[in-house]
Amino acid sequence: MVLSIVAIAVFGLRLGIDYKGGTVIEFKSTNPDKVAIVNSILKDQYSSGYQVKEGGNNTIVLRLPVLTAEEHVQFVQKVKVEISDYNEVSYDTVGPTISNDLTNKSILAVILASIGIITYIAYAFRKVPRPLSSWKFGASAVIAIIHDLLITTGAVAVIGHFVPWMEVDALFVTALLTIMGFSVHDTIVVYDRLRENFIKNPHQDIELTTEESVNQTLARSINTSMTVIIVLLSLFLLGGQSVKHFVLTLIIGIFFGTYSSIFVAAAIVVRWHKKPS
Amino acid sequence: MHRNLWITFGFIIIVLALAVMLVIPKSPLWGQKVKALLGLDLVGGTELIYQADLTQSIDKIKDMNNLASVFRNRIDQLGVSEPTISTSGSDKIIIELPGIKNIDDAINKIGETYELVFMEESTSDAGGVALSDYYDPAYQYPGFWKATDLSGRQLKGADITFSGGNDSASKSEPVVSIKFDNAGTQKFATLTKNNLQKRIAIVLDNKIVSAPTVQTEITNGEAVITGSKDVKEAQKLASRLNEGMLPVPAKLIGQQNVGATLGQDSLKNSMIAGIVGLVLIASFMIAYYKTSGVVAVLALIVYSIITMALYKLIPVTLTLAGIAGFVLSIGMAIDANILIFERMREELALGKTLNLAIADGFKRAFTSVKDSNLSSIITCIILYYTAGSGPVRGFALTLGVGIIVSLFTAITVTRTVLLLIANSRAKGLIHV
Repeated sequence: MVLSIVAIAVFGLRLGIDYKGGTVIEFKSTNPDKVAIVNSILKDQYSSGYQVKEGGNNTIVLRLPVLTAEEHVQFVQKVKVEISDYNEVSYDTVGPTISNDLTNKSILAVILASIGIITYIAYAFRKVPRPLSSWKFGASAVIAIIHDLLITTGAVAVIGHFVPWMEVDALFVTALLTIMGFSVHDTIVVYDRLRENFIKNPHQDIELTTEESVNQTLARSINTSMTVIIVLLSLFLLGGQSVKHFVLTLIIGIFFGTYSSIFVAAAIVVRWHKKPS
Repeated sequence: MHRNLWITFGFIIIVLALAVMLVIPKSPLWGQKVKALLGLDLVGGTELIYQADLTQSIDKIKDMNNLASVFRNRIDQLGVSEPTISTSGSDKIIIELPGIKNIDDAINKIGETYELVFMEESTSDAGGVALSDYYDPAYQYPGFWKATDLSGRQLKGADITFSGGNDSASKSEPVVSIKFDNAGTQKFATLTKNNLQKRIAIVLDNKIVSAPTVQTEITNGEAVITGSKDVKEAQKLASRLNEGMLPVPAKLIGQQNVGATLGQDSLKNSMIAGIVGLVLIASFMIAYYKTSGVVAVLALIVYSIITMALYKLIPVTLTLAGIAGFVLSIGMAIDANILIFERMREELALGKTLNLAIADGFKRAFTSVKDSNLSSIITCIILYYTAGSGPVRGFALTLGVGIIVSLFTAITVTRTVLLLIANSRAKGLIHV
């Protein structure tokens, strides 16, 4: 977790235009000098703040400040003069109003979803036998979630530092929320077992009960994550370029989510419980 | 018990049959009518996001609806097939134009803010200006014009009607009738009174659409504009006037174009990835859980078909993010089966009979399955309502629908089929 925070602080996240606003143009051309041509055109217009990157299959990806519709037309006209086979594959522009909106909504979504999960777990486990508290179950699950999300975000920051397509956009938030869902799935399964075993042997040491519960659910946790990761890997290797970052984020998150539900969530409940309060 | 199982089984078959008829595109029933909706990122096209400036607006909801319908009119004139226009938040309008080619042209036509004003005749000395024709900018109307305080805001509507001329030999002539609101009626009455036998110009974007001559003072706020050459011209005038009623300027704040080839590639790739993923999962399940795995895979196929049918029915627009949600819900559906099978193994290890192990395995695993899936559904609902933007919303919707269906298939379908086999002579086949 500490490593992740350091990674986020050092590398920063590669924010997509969803969050910072801007324009991304992707075009295809067989012109060998296209990078130089586009660069020189952009230089006239912007001193900096733009990016030209070559993609596969004769494509070029441009990142610019927000373009208006007219500016876009003018730009394309200028480029077409020198690159006759300019073929715009995609064009995406997000004004500052939308990007602010999105950032706020994403944060709101994560907070609301966390509250929803804590409340639901506290409710679902309300019948947990006495010395254990259902709210501690809920809060521990959320700590496990924070652990997963932090590690995932850290990994995304590191990968984003080296790979251009690892961007933080609306899909990234979706990925985080999915990871959250899976992490809660895993945690609930372990909790459920813990509760059952605790009711069965109320006098057994809680640490032992926890260990048993984790072991009993181990096969399920690993098998489930395996199947999901199988699907994700096939999406990652064969699916479209535009969801690659999304799928990779999910793979990392689900991997650590499984680990955390096995080693983190239940452990926190035990620690918390043992601590004299 | 046995009979109930067969009833459930029959129910599953009926649901499945209905779903199959919906999913197969050429099925005689609804398959043809109910089309799958594909998002722009899969078919290619343009998404435009407009923000309306509602600072001057009195009735914001009405103005937004007006704006949306004006956009719709303008888009219909462009001849784009199946556009979607939706309002988002309090002041945004999202327009999706699948498969459009000339985007910049479209943007110009859609986004124009029409300012409709009524002008009276004036002289150049009194500050009047010369104006050209709306349809033919090269033609300059004779005379000079001065703005009045009557504008499109006071207009309630314009319609094309036909008036038979007094001369029975002449055909009935298309005219445009206009109606003002209360404030407009008074202003128009004053205007017509002061300008008898003079022209009043209807001006859009500083160009004259029409300049009828006032025949009489009009006090009831209703007037007809004659002189249209044909029905087409009258229609054009009426729609210009209707558009001009819109006082709300809108700004283009976001745009996304996806080339058709990119979209098709994405669709093809996700389909391939999905199928490969399914095959891999199926092999894993069968290898690990033997015949029970086969039943789970069958349940998964039933699941996929029912979910697809629901996506068509609701309808859910499938986007890349939506497909990702669907694929994840497959993972969650399988998770339910894994939970149940692991539990069955444990029950069998305790020395229970097959029937009892199946029943108990399902019962015991159900709390976990229920709790985990309900928490995911809660997350989906929160996502759906907070993150108003396209991809996140699509993802939450497909995932949510998928989870609900998976609760049905992974539990009911698998359980019924397993118990039916366990109660039959073929029970020796069951392995977990």
